[in-house]
Amino acid sequence: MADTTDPALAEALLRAPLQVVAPDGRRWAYKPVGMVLASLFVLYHVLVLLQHTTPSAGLAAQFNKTLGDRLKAGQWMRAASSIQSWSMFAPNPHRSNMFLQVFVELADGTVKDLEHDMYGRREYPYVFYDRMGKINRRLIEQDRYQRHYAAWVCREWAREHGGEPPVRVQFVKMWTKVPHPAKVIPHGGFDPMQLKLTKEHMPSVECATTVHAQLPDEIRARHGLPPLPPGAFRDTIIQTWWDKAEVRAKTIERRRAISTPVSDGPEREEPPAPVEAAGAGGGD
Amino acid sequence: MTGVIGMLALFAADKPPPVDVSAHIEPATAALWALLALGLGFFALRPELWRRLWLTQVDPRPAGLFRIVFGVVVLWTMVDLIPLARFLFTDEGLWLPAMARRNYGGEFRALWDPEHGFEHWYDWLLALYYRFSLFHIRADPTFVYAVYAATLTAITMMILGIKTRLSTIVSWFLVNSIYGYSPIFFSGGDTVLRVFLFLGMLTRWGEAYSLDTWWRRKRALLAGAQQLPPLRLIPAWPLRIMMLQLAIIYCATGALKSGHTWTDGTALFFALNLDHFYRHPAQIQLVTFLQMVWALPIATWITRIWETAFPLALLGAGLRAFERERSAGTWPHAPMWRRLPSYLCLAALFVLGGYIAALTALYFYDPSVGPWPIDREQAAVLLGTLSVAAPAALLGLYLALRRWRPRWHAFALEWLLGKRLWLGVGVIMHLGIDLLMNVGTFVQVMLAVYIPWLSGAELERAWRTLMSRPQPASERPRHARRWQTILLAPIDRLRHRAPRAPYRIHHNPGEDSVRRAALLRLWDLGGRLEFTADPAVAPKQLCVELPGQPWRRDAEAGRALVPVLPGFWWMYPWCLVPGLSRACGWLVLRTFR
Repeated sequence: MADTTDPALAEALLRAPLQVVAPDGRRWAYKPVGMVLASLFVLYHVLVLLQHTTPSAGLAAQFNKTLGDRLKAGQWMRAASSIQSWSMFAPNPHRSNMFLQVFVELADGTVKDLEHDMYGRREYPYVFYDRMGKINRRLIEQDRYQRHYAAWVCREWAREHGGEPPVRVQFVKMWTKVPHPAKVIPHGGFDPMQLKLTKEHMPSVECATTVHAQLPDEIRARHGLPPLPPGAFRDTIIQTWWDKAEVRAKTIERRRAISTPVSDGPEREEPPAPVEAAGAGGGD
Repeated sequence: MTGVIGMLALFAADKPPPVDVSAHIEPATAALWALLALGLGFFALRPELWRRLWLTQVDPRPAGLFRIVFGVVVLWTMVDLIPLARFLFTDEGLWLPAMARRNYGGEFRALWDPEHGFEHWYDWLLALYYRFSLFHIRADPTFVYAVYAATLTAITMMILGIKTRLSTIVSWFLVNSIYGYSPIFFSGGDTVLRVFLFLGMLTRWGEAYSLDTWWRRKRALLAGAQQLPPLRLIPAWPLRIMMLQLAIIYCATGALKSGHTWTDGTALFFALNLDHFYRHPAQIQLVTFLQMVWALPIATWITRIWETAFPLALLGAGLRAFERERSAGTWPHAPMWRRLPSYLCLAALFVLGGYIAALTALYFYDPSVGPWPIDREQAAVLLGTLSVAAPAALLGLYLALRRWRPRWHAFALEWLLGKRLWLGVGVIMHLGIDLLMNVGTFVQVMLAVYIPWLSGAELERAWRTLMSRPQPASERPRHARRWQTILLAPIDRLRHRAPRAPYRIHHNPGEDSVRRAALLRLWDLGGRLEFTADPAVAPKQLCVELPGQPWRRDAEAGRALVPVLPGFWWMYPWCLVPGLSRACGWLVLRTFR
């Protein structure tokens, strides 16, 4: 390297304005084939995005469904992790505070409040976001989650209590209504703890008979707990490609066996065995 | 405009009570297909506009800044989930993997067998296409925490811009593995995060403010480049889809706010008084007062109108680009034989939009709640006519302003349809939400996704403003009255800025030293550095002269540069810790060695 730098080079390196340029000087982002491919992708994604986020009912129902089916919009939005719904505070914000109390009933009849709800328990100022509060509310808004949540409560209780599950899990829905502004403006506000608290008992969930409400042996072993009695674990059924292949193979085998001539009498064909479909449904 | 009105009307139709629209479902469907065909036809006739819209190249700096800010929000969200990771994602939590796979695994549940794996070698590709989480296969705590650690590492690499494209793809896959296990904990912010992380994967957002780019430019500079290695332009289309996506989010959420609380101005009162959101119960008194003095009802109506009309910001962005390039003579032209039918396509689009708007009014207009005592037939005619006439009138007004009232025209472009208004209201609204409500990282992610709306020039101006100082009052333009001077002083301090005194880098005149000094410019986003060749300085030595202070050399010089090089701002708190200051200086020095 030189002891002194060419002044023009020093000027170019130390004082000339920063450039932002295309790698090969072209205006467009791609060459022709790339432009066609990028255009097709953009067109497809934008169409699917608009189909996915515009109304799917009313006058648009038929159009929306046909377009969605032809574009396989739902599949693409799932694949692109772009499933979306923007009904935040819509059509109205909630006007009540909702909580779900969670109780366990033990074999000796004792009932314990697990204090999973947030009523009167949140510390203020509320700085760190509390997802458990949201999950607790969601158990009320989408009650299909309650059974799974109860199953977890059963398992977690068993894990923490030497493998012994409770008998059942009970839910109590509680809510207070935020008063209308016309009622509270004369008083300058209200005390949320003085609002009328309404309670409603929800169906309870049995730990012994509910699917996945028993701590499986694999986790028991992990925590040094004794295994479950045989048949105690109630598993969910999922029909995989292997199960389907097995059913198919058995059906073929049965049909082949039956079609083998064994007597002089007329050949009889038995109807195929019903194919087990448990677990093939969508579930929640 | 017709499209917007039509869309709003259709949104209204998305809510109960169900209305039997069978008498007009066929013509409405035909009209919507025709709308789609006309839209496609327009771009088929004007492919140069399609290219200009999507396939042009843009400055990579907004995308680079977006990667960092958005990446930090993603990292924050993931870290925030760690305390619940065992409950949400492991087999000791809410879901055993089989149940999670059955309920949320989509087609993957049939594609993969716990004992026998996949049926075909290519099924894992299908698994990627379907909803799929690694935790659907295995969810013991050790595995989950290992995946979690890999996720945090990938996101950190993405933020820093190390192997950016690869680390973004890995981040997207792992983040979706975490989200894909079950949706029970999802909030609106998580949805925004997932959607934009996918679009980020399509963006070449590592071309600025990344270690990849730094290393590339450093190599070029030290290898004998004859000019400062430039930044490379990137394809615009992923950023444009991000802008469209944001407009969809706001327009959809605004249009869906069709309940009476958004009409009577009580919606924000209720939202702010929900005890799972407010920061402190004492807010209730404040909120009640704000409701009493009409501040909250006005904010409620502004929120709804602003959200629903947000696509106007897209229109503004398009119009400004058109006017800018028209003035410069670079707007793509088309011969009349293509322009004329393309205009006819647009006109037909509006007419069909008006027809759909009329049909929507015919079925969904409720005379009992409408602002005027008109029946449905009248409302249909009125809305249909307005949907065509209003855009035509607005177009005429726009052309008239451009011709005869250029200042009003500029005001319409820069303010009524400008980013200042549409993004500014959004910033105020989201900061207000964050101040009064705890909604997780929703506010942060929403503000982060505004960055793709900025241009490179705007970002550069922002850096220079951030690095500047307010002009002394005596040098600012004077107001006519003293009270105006006092009242507007805070705004004037922001508007009228002067550059701060530069930091002067003294370097050896040798070429190698010049090249090493030039490396500093790649981090000097606010233009605070000036350079002086000085034979007294040893080759490759870093030597900084601060305004009115003695020279700093080596690690001390490195420490002194931290405040003016934004890439090192993360070090600033550490520099305040006794003993670490020198280490920070050494790290800066090491970067430019």
